[in-house]
Formats: sequence, structure tokens, C-alpha cells
Amino acid sequence: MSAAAGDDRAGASPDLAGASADPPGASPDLAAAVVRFAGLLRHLGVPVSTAEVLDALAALPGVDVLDRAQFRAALAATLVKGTAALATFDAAFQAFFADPGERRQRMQEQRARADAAMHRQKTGREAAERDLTFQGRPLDLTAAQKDAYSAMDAPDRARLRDFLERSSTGVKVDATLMPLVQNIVRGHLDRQRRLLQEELEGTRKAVALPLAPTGDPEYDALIASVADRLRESPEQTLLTLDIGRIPESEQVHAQRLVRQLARRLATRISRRYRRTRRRKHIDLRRTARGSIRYGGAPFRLAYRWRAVRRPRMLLICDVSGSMARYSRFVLEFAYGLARVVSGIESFVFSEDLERVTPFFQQRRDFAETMGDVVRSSVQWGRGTNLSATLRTFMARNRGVLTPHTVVVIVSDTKTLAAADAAAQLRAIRGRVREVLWLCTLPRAQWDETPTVAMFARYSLMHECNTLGHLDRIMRRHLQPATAAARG
Amino acid sequence: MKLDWLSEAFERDGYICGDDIMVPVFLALRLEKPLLVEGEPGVGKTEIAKVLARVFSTDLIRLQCYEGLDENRALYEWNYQRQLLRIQIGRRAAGEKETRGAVAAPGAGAGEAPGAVAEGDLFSEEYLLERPLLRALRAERRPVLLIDEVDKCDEEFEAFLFEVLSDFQVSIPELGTVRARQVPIVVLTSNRARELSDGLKRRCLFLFIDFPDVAKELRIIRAKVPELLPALAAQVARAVALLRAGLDLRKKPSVAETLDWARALVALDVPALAPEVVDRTASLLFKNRDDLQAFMGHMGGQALVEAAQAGDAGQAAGDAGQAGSMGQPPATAPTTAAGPAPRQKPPTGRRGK
Repeated sequence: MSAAAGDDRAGASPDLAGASADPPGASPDLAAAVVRFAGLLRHLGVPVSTAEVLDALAALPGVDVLDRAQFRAALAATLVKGTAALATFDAAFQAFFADPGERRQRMQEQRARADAAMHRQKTGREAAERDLTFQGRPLDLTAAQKDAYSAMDAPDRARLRDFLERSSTGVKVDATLMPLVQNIVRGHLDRQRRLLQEELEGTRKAVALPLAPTGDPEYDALIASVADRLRESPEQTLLTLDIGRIPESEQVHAQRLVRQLARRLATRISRRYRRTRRRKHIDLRRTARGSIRYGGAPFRLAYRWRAVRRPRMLLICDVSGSMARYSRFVLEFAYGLARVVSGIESFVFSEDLERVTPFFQQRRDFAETMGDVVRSSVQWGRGTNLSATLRTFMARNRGVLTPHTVVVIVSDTKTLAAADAAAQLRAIRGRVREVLWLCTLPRAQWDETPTVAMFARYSLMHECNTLGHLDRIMRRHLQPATAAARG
Repeated sequence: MKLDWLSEAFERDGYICGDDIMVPVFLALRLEKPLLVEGEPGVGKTEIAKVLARVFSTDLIRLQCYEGLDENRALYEWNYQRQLLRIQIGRRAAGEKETRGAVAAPGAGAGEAPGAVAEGDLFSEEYLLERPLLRALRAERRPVLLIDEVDKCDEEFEAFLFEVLSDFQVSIPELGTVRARQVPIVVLTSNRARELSDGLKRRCLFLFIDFPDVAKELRIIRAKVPELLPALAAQVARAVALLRAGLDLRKKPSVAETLDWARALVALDVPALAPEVVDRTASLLFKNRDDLQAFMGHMGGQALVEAAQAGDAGQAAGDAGQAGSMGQPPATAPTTAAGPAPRQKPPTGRRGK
């Protein structure tokens, strides 16, 4: 067993004989390894405090550190304090306390990866300097712009070279045109870089790991290896993947996950909220009235209690053409909730509004329910007119808006008659507890889309295009509200 | 105390588990730290505290958490009604004395009337209602304190609990500081209805109990329901594992449900799993209508029995091979905690626990 892995940056990995010769747990090598392991967990986003590291060190003398299962259980019990971090812990444990041979191999791989990346970058930049010239003079470009050029597809690169060639070889072209051309190329490369970044974020199948290099080659190798292991965990992947990009093969798994999220939330909001009478504040009026029967002695005290109401949820979901892939998941979420919590009103809209609550109340499985909704809906996949939608809503369903209602709108904000829609939204905002807008546009695009700012004035706008977003928003906003009341 | 000793004690008590569970329990005892146990309902979280109490022959003091639980309910409370009665009686006695005294010797000072109540008397042990936390701190023998479903209490109460579990002492303004005679063995359980605070988690050792694998579940069944036929027990363990893996359920059947089912099969005198038996007893495994429908719609008794028996054949072949080659039962064969497994069903029904 290879539990005793020490600090082998100097190249000397502590051998097992050394670990077993010392009293178990007192071995300084082992202690150093545990401290470094805790450091690795912190790099991976697991909060590990010094107190917990001390606990781990105190725990080791009690177990047989040469028994890998016992050693793992002792570290898990002391360093990890939640099921969410357990997967990360396991991956990190396997990577950190691996055979010395495996560790060496991993280091070599990491070094080779880093060297290859460096080499790619260097040749890419050289190519950019060689290709992007104006009348033989290289353009003044930043390193990031050169990297963007080398990351472009070959045809795109050819187009850019072609543009440069044509603009630098005209009859009346002279060197004074160079700054203009240079700016055009820079702008183009900057846009490419942004697009590339978005693409990376959208498709990155990794958990949100702080993957920036730590400067310690061994840590970097370990972090890369842990990230690889975690990428294989489908749940982590699905939570961070854009809903619209979830591949067909993962749809079933994703839907199950959505239902789990809905259920977890439902158990939170459907708990009994009438609190115990034993609160701190005495209700004098009722105490005095009740004490008459004991001859005026306040024998039984009456207390004030706080009534806690859970919010009513109202869902208005955009099912226009561009939005359908998101709507499906949100409706699934609403469907999951509607099955366990009563009183969720659901609507869909594109050009106008349709109420779909009754479909969800029939307690049939999701495929049938969705089939019915799509068949009977005339709204599915059309253009978007939120203004008409909200007008219809106010005309027909004004009654469902109460101070306890949380209105949830799922849309990319792209609509006709946006100004009027914003005015309607404002009217709704005045009648309810909160309007949550789950915006499927990535946050990076919000500044370019004026409608986002228009609607954000009257609603709490959240970026919501992954299941992880959906989970976080629902947890944060569907908390019960407390209202002082007398019992 | 050694880990092996504790593992054996747990096994003797019928709690079958591996090092993944035993090591955190053992370390909690050794480091005198609270143990926070998470896992699905019915996997044996609460049972750990009960077994600990039995193993150390000590009291189990249980604090069931719920929304609105406060210090009065958890720590201590003054018996207000009794105090009030005492005052009333005292006042009446003093009044009578005064009347009599006035008749006998006018002008004499009332002095200390026999019924008069000193404030110190009212806030004495006699009027103190001990609640679980205080009882655990003041116990003569090191008790096991089970704080059940800690995720259901309010955040303020959790902060208070954190304070108690940090110092194992509380102050009662009228009586002074109460220090724990010995640090109690504390087990907290949580169903993850909400995240617990970092402070509380940091204070505890953490244990997550997952559903057991087939082999371990079989050992649990044979320890807890020894009257179930061994072959049937194996089928039950495999069937439940299949249900957990193969169906999208609101509540997956837990060890508790497996044992209920096993006991039901004994009560019904079932020799082997059959589709109609599964259909008839499915309500013991599924605790709501949706899950029952999901089972009937997507799997059904027939498919489940076939899958469970297919595993049977595979294992039998493997067992036969191993036993034949080694001339003794396979090393992987499960053992029961209660001695050798009964080869035949006892003729007169149950010997239930």
C-alpha cells in the first residue's frame, strides 16, 4: 500500500519501510504528506481549516496507516465535511496517495504537456508575426491577439491573410494606411478571442476548479489529474454544462437530475412552517385573558409566534423558437415541483400567453404531459411578444398575483415591443413579492442586448443556462418569508 | 480501546459495516469529537448512536430536532407553574401567619414567616426541568447524546448547539456554569434538508453512509433476519440493489425497507422470490404512489425476479467452483453475526427481533 507519500520534490519519495519503522502517525513524512494533501484539497476548492488538519494528524495514531481503507476513512472523516466535497476528496486521494511510479509518470506527463503547450504557443506566435504583415512590416499585436490568430481555423486564417494582402497591395496604398488596417485586424482578433473564450466556457466539461497554475509543478500535475477524474463524473458535468448544449445521449440523465433538484427543493418548501408556541415574546393580551380562570395569576403564558408562509410560485416560460431547448428543462423542473408542492401556476408564451397548469395537475408522467402541452399549444416555437403576453396575463389572471407570489420568467429577453413589455412588468412587480428573471443569455452578452437592462429594472435578473444556475437560484429565492402573526 | 474491538462489538450487536463507517466512529470516540452522520433515510444513521449506547452499556439521550426547537426545549427550563404555585402557597401561609400574629401579639414584626419564599429557593434544582442537552452534560456515566435530524432545526439553534458542542459547558444565570462531567459521545444525524453551518461541521467528524453493496446488505439481512432462507436472502439483497440502480425513484428503498421486506417474506412463508410475491409486497419497498407506479410501469415483479435469479445462478456457479477447488466454503461467503446461518427455515415461524 502506498499511503505514505511524502514531499518528494527533491526526488526522494519516502518509502513504506520508513513509515512503518516510525510509530504510526508520528512519522514526520506522513504528517508533511497530510499537510500537503490538505493544501491540495484547498486548491481544489474544498475548504479545509487548520483545525481540521490537526484533527487528521491526531486521528492517524489511532488507525493502521498502512491499511489504505482505514487511512482514507480517517482522512475523509476529519478533512471533508459534506457529501458535495467527497467526490473531489476521493479523486484527490487517489491521485495524491498513488504509487511512486504512477506519480513520477504523472509528473512527466504534466511536464510534457506544459512543454508542448509552450512550444505550440511559441510557433503560433511566430506564425502570426510572419503572416500578419502590412507591406512586409509586421503588425503591432499583443501576445493574446497572436494567440487568437493561431487558434483560428485554417480557412479563417487564410481569409485574414487574404484581406491583408489585398489591402496592402492596391495602387494608391501607402504606409499611412497601416494604422487603419492594423486596427481592423486587432478588432477582428479581439472578437475571435472573445468567441473562443465563450466557446470554451460553454463546452468546458470541467467542474469549476481553480485551474490556474499554482507554480508548484507537482501540485499542477495533481490538480490536472484530479480534474480529469472529476470530468468523468456525469452529475458534475451536467450541472455546469449549458442546457442547450447537453448532448442527446445525456438528456435522460439530465432530466433525472432536474427532477432530483425539484424534489430537493420541494422538501424544503413544503415543510411544516407553523412554529412552536415557545417563542420569546409573551402575548400580554392573551396571557391576561387566560389568567382570569386562575384567579388572575398568570399561570399559563401565551406567546407570540411567527407564521411562516411559503411563497407561491408562478412560472412564465418563453417557448419561442430560440428558447425551446431551455424551456423543456424549466418545464420539467416545474413539473417536478408541481407533483410534490401544490399551487404552482405555470404559463408558456411566445406570441401570446397560454396556461399549462392543468396539464401538470393530472399526475401523469413527463413525456405524456409534455406531449399534451406541445400538441395543444399554438405557442410552441413561434416569435416572441412579451408585451402581448403580459397584457393577456394582467387581463385574465391578475387574481393570482399576491404579495406572497414569486413570479419566475424564463426568457432570453429578446422580444417585440420591449418598452411596453417593461411597463407591463413594472405593473406586475408592484403586486407581487418578487419577479425573478432567469435569463438564458450568457452574462457576457448582456451589455450588447439592450432589452436585458430594460427588464432588469423591474426584476431580479439572473443568468440561467446551466442546471447548476437553476439549482442555485431556486434555493436562494424560494426561501419561506416570515411574517409576524399572532397564534 | 482498539478499532478491531469496536468493530467486533458493533458486529456482535448486529450492526454490519466496513472500515468506511467504523473508522470515523472510532475516531470520534478517540478524539472526543461529535460525529456528524449524513445519508439517505433508513441507512442506519440513528442506529449508530443506539449501538454505541449498547456497546458501552450507557444511557442514550436523544434530542429530536424540529423547526422551532429552542434552548428551553433542548437545554433546561424553569418549572414556571410550580414556582408560581410555591409563591402563591407561600403568600397564603404568610398571610395566615400575619393574621394570627396580629391577633396574638399586635405590633410584633412579621419576621421570617414559615411559608415565605426566598428567591434562591425558587431557582434551585427542585424547580429545574432538565432537557436532553443538560441531562447529557450532568450525567454520571459518559452518555451517548443523539441529536437527530439536526438539519431541521433553525439556524439560531444550530449556532447555540455549536457553542455547547465546542465547550461542553453551559451557563444557567441563576445556578452558574455547568461543565460536563465527562465529554458525552455525541452523534448528530442529518438528512441534508439544508446545509449546516461551517462552524458546526468543522467541530464534528464527518461520516457519509451510502447504501450498502449487495454482499454487505446480505450480511445485514442475515444478521437481522436470520430466519430468512439463505438463498432467498441473497435474492432479496440483489433485488433491492437492482431497484436502487435501475429505477428513477423519489425515495430509494433503504436498508430499513429491505429488512421490512425480508421480515414480510418470512411472515408469508415464501420459499423463493416469485413475481406475484413481489407485486403483493412491493408496498413495503416503495413509500409513495409515484415510486410504486414507476416500479410497476418500468420494471415489474417478473423482470425483477428474473434479474435477481440470474445473479443467483452466476453466484452459485462461482461458489461451486471455488468451494470445489478449495474444499471449503469460499472466503467471500458472508457470515452471520448470530452464528452459522440456518440451513432450513425453522418449523414454527418467527424468532423475530
